[in-house]
Amino acid sequence: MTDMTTTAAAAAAPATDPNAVGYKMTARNVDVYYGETRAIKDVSIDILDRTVTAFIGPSGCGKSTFLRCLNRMNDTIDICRVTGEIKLDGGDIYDRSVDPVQLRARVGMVFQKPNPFPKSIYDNVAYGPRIHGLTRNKADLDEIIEMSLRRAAMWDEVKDRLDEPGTGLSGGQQQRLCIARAIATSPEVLLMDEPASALDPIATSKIEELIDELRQNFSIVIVTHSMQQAARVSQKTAFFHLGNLVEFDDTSKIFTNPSEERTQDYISGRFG
Amino acid sequence: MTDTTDTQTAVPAAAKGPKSKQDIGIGRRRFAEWRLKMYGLFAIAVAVGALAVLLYSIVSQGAKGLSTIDAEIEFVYDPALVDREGDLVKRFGEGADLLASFAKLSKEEQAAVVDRPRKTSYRPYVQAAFLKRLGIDPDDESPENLKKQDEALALLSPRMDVLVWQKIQQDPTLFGKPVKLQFLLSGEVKAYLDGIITKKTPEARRALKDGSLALIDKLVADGTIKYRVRWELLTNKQSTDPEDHGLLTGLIGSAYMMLIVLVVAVPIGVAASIYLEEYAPKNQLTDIIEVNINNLAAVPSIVFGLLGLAVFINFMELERSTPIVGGLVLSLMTLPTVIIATRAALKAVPPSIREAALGVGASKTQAVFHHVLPLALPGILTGTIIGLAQALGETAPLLVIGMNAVVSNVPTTPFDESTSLPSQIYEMASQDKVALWAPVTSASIIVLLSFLMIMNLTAVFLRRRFERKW
Repeated sequence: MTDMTTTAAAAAAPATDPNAVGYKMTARNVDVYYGETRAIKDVSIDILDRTVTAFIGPSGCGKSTFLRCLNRMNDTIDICRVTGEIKLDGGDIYDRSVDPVQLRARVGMVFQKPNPFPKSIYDNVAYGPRIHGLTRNKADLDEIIEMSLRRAAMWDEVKDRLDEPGTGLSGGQQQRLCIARAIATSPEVLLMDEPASALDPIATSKIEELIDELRQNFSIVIVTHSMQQAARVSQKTAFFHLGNLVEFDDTSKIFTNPSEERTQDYISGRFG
Repeated sequence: MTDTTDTQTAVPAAAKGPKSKQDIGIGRRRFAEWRLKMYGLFAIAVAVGALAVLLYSIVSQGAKGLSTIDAEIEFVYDPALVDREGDLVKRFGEGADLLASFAKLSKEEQAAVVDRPRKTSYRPYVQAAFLKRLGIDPDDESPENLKKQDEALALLSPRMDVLVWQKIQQDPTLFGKPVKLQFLLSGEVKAYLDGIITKKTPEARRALKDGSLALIDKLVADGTIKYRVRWELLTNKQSTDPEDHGLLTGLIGSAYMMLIVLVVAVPIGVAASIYLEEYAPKNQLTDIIEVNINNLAAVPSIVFGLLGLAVFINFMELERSTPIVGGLVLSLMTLPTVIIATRAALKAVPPSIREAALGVGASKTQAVFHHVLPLALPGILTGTIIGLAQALGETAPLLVIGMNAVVSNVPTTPFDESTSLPSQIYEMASQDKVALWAPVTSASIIVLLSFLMIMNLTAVFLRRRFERKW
């Protein structure tokens, strides 16, 4: 417990300096409807660059739904409708001129369950750069793959077996491979939907270390069910409840001195 | 802790009762379980037994149909035959050496000459050669010898003169030379040797009289009649006589139809499935389409045959009895099977793979063609092959569009008249001389079943080979 609070306090430090980092994404009055159901109600939030922002809240509160709005993954669901405004570097991502395919190269995503393609480790990481035509030759591609795997802290584990299937790795390795795959297209924002919920504690701690490393280069948004995890890895925390953004503040403040009673109740385990 | 105290109090309470209720319940449940297991075993035993009986009857009959007999007899293409129409005499003058003159002719002229005698012209020569081999004088016309001749000639297949004619057509230089020929014996001879006809069968009810049967015994004893594998079943065309009936026309017709199904039904079916599964919005219209596709798979095949008759033959005016019509009808029939199998295969690909592809910025089409389709391929292939196998065995719709005709020429294109493997079997099974045709029919069924088995094994192999885990 003491461990948690100290890391959280330490990690929160950079975010307190507003000049060091700017806003990467801004959402204003976002509503999401599934058919007639209003899943997200009037959410406005600012995502900082080079910062880990955690979304917490009970199941069904809309945190994953909101996360999927940030790279328009909700477009793939027929009945889903998004209103309001979400901007990436000042440009509206729901604008007609924006191609969701290109947006997703800038806003990468890592999913709850490790989902490597049933292909080789190399091909898994190479897929993004290949379809976006990021490289001109094999050497460039090799370089991107090595860099991505290094950033995902698994280069040393897999450098000798890049042609083995990605599905043959352990769960934790698979998830890091998925992270490597997501960062291979050099996205600016990395969305993570409960990336460690299917992993054991050791694999989880590796992923968390990795997230802390990746903060140097990316803006990261992570949805998590574990409040300890949110406290350990994030500098900003948003608490969602029943589709509302209840509170959004520095992680240290949310976990020590929340201003809303519902936040207090949730983090102290009174519901959810 | 409360749990343990609860059970402690519960156990004596149950034990106190006269013949505790729980025990009776457990006994009944076990019996019910045993009974259900027995039902299952019984059902499997019935199914396996039925299959065994079916296979036994086909194989025991078919084994007779897969072998054939022939007798090697020397035959001379008589010089008199060369000039039956007197062409050579006219050309080279009376008393010229016909054979020598024939040899001087060019290849084309020789072919023209041997083409002149009709097939039936060979019959007396064939019969004479056969009788000589059996030690019967072909020229002695005493009543006693004529009876002997009749008994002997009953053994010879009526198709033999055609075979002799075909041989000289292929090689005109055989004229005047003695050639060892495999004489085709009548179907009755094989039936007698197979035990289908016996000496106990009343003489009036069989084509071969006692004298003929004695002759067969003699020919078997001196080794003239030899058994061999009946390759002609695969290489011969249809025939009116069981002894030289073959499936070639049906094999080629069926092969063309499978090709058409492969070219028509598979691309359309896979494309339709990809659209329905990956792109189509979920609304009432697509629901109706889905229900209708599933229902189409259950439509009786004869209805497809009638549809083909109305659309392809009457409206589009394609030729009757052609593989193109049969193939299109079978394509319509196979389409629902392919669509259902392909959709199931696409559904079985975990959604996480699609999300992963979309998540790194692949377009929908890229996600489908780079990831979903390759993963679904083994399932699609399996479904397709099963659908093809089903189409290969289909008979009813082909009868409606006239694929059961007797066709004299082997089809060279899908637009030529043809027949199909199953409809040929249907025709053979409805022949009058059941006893003579049954072995050939069963052998043909074995051929058809072998093809089906090969296809199904291929499906299993492909599934095993390309199955991937994720």
